[in-house]
Amino acid sequence: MIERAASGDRKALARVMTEIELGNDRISESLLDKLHGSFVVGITGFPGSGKSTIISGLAMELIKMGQKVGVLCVDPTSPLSGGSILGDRIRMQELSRQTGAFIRSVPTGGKKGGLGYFTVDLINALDAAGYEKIFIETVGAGQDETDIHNIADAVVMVTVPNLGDEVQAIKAGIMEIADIFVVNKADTGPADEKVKELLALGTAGRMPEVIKVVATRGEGIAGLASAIERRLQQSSMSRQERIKSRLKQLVRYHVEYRLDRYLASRDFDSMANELMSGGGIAQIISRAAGELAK
Amino acid sequence: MSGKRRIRVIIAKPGLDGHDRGAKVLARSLMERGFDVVYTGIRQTPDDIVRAAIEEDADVIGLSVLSGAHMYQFRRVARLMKQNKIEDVLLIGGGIIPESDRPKLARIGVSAVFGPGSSIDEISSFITSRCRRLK
Repeated sequence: MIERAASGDRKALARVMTEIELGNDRISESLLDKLHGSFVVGITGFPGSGKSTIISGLAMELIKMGQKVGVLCVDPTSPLSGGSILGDRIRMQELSRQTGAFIRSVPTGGKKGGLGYFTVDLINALDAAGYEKIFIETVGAGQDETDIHNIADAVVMVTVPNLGDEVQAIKAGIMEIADIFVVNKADTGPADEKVKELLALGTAGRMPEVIKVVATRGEGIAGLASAIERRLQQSSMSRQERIKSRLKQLVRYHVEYRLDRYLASRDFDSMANELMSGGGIAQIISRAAGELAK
Repeated sequence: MSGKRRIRVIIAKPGLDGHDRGAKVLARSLMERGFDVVYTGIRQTPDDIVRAAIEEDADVIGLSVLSGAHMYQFRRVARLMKQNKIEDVLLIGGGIIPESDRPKLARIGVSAVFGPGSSIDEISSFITSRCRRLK
């Protein structure tokens, strides 16, 4: 199945992803020696700030240059029903028709942090299938959804004019992890003030770029695409290092998945009993420690 | 709630009809019943819909048509599903579809048509009972 996915079979790639989502660890594992080390670009920002539209524009730029682009769009899973509404494809109509594009919607499955439990495996699937650039659209993020920082080679944070004062901008959390800020919908409010506010966040060690964009009209997208490309090229990590750091996250996510499932499936008393007898969660933790030590 | 994959349903509106209130109500209601619903929006071509179903590895395609073009749209989608060998995906429809067209739709592979007045529970239990993969 993985071989067929790598040879460009769209349906095979989709099935590989489903197997991953069904918790098929063997599939996840067999991807590991087929990675090319594709670049991962994270797009995060407030709900409705324009992340999907921006990804669509950016990906179209790359496709025009002959690249293959994968997109993972993460949307929240209902804490009540476990279902989800995955609505990011709506803004990617033109992109979704391109031969060089592959778009997959990803529910978080209840994971906190802005991504889904299997996001790293899904990145690996796209990577192994030859997608050179992979965009991750996080859930609509507020202040604390910073997981993308550890997974993406460049993080773009999308904001809009007229939202919050400078104190919101200097808070810890998501505002710290951006390599590039986008002020989208720049035609709807005091965009220049927002730009100034964001530029002031730069420190000697970390100087984010700030770019004004009107995504629905494509304004600023080419500039954003080259800013991202510059960031990726500046990165000091080699291909192998990129893969390795991604795999560290993969182990973490798998451990977290098992822990969360365990916590969701036990009541307090049975958990306490298992812990006392060294089973259950204790076993999971020791197994995880073993995996991490490898 | 850290769950494995759920039954994945594509809800799409083919053609030029922009009346998507029903599609949105259904998307929301199915989400509330534990399905993963990919809503692709209005003005989709049959090719768009089938490609989305392939990439999302959908279990169900639900088409909403209120324009009267249902015979054409369903036929195109069903044909593309066959071409792409995904005819095991459950194809269902909703909208304004005359009773007299329903046998014809059934013959081309539309498993059920849910017109005005259909209850969400009826739709959701139909999907659960007929879906090729259960969660």
